[in-house]
Amino acid sequence: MTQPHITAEEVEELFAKLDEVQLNDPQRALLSAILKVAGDVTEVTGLSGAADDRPPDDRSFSDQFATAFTPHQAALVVEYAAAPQENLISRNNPPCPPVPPGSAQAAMISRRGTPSSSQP
Amino acid sequence: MTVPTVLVSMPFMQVDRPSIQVGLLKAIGEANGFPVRTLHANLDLAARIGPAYYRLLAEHRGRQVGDWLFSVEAFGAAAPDVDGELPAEFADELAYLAGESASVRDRLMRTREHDVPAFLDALVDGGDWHGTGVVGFSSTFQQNTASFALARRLKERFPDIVTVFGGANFDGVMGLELVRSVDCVDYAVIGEGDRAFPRLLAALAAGTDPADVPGVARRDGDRVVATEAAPPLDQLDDLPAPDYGEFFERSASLGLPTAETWLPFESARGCWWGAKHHCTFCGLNGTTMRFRAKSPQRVLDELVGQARRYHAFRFEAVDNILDPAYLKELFPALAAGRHDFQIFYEVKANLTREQLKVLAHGGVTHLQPGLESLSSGVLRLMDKGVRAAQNVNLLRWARYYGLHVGWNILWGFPGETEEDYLAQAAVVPHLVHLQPPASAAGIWLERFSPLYAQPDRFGPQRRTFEASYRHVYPEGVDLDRVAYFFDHEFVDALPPSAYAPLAKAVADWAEAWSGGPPSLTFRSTRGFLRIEDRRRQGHDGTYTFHDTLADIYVACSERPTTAPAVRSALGLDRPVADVEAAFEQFAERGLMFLDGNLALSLALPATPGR
Ligand code: SF4
Repeated sequence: MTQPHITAEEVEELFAKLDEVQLNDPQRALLSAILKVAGDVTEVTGLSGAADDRPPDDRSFSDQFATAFTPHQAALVVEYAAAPQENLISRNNPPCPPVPPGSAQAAMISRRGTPSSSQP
Repeated sequence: MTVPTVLVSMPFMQVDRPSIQVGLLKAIGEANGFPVRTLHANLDLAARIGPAYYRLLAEHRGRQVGDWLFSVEAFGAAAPDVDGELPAEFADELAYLAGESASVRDRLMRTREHDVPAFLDALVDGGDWHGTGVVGFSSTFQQNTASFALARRLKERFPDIVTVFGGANFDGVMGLELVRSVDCVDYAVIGEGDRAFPRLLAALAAGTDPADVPGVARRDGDRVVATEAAPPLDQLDDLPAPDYGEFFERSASLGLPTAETWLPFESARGCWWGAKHHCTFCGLNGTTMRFRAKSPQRVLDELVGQARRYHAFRFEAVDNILDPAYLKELFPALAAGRHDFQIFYEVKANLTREQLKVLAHGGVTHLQPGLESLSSGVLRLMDKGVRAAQNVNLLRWARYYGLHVGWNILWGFPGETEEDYLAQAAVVPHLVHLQPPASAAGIWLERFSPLYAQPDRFGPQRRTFEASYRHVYPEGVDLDRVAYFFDHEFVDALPPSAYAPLAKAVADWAEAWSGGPPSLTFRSTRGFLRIEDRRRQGHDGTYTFHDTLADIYVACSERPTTAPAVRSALGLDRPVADVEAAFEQFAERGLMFLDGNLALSLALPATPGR
């Protein structure tokens, strides 16, 4: 079976669509997290900078509030999506504790810059 | 010459702690050279009917059941309700007292007709009354008729015994009317007894008229002769420590456990808040509101001394309000001395986080703050001098420092609106991680309270003595002068349905704590905040905030804060309206409590003890 090719841009567009859909907070947080995982799978990048380099969250307050809540049932997916960027995660068993830098070789997936609408 | 004296504490004084009133007067009497014994007779009835049932009766408020149980023995043929109408008239309210009995009436009638007479017989027959000159009774809440019943029997058997009454039930006009209308009352101390009591004993010893002593009243035919009370005692340090020895001896001889006893102590009298702004519903401190306190060193010495004397570590302050000076001297000294006390205090609700920390480190484990409402509007109507946000903040930091909080929600204040109660009901689900109130109910109208004493200020009202008094006292007693509680209705009173949503929310709150307290905690570092919400099963989750929102939330955690104050504290270049919008969003999620211009973050730090 051939896999459809999904680009990072298509995932970005889906994120944008998310803003138009009427969802409650838990639903929005969960969908954001799922899309973020999808985004991670489509693009492999190198290790990013230290956490201090993270740009300030300049989304509007209401955007930030809209994605602030994560219900505990969905915590596994969202925890995966929210883990620090430089950590590598094994595809087989997400989420897992951060692995030490230098073990990137073994990783199948690495994270990329997160689209702003999914930023917690 | 001395006058051998017995001071009696009758039912329905609580069984689990000694009476500070008789303990203190014994110590005062002896310091003045009079031999005084104490008789904690309430213990005997508790042992006879069982402590659990006794506790139910002693803790009952509302109807005068305790006084009704002794009414026939107190007044004989003049008693108004020999046939026992009271339990039938209030059957629904009293149903919880029935225990295993077929009906509450059955149980109460059995107590009244069998246990009470047998208890009184045993006290008179088994007591060492020969040679006793004076028998004194201290009476608070429902101790009147039990005291009259014993006095009556003693005077029948030992006609030379002189009876002296006092206590809160004899304050003001209530005491004067009881002296006038109850035969077995020879003398009464109206107001504080610390100086009047030994002077009265001295007058009896010297054969002069005790009614010449300031604060003492006696009957003269159909009138009452009384000398105006002296100004209340200022130097509380001059008082001796209460003597509780006979309480522990009697408990032991009756097989009643005392391991859990909280020793009462008094560090202050009156109320410094009430002296300026009397809370409208409060009938405490009838004629002596002026605040007086023992010095911190004196309190410390008394606690240590009483702990050694009675092998006790638990202390219950009987004060109406904490002396703020103790926060600077007493509790730091208790903490520095590493005394392992557990202390109860009543406090005003405007305590800060730092002050609660000082109390907790100083050994306070139980607080009774005057919270009374979660609505600033209603708190204003009751002249409480705090805002709802301060109340919630007290509950937060009390939980954080492990302090048990006993409090109530009150309603029924002239001027309140349905909206005041809908708003409280709506906010309660956000507060369930904080200690729930013990009850939510309408106020009682108490004698001496502004609501009682200033009808012009609070609008016309229907007001009569609480209905069950007429089942207790004979016809010749003027109940308008004797009653402490009054049935009432204000003209603009809300219908009971206005309070139903809040009552339901509070019941759910208590239910939420039945399986262990829910929690709402946060961890934060610079620019990052995570809030763990475990307040409602099935709705648990985590909130994550960054940067400005995280900073705003943390800035409102210490105490209730305004948006301009937050903006300036954080040096934000956003307008105040943005901060207010953030407040609103936090509040919508139940993460903040908004009270007018004040915002208070509701989560507690996850890191304990800071
Ligand atoms: S309710 Fe408490 S604070 Fe208010 S006047 Fe009475 S004792 Fe004082």
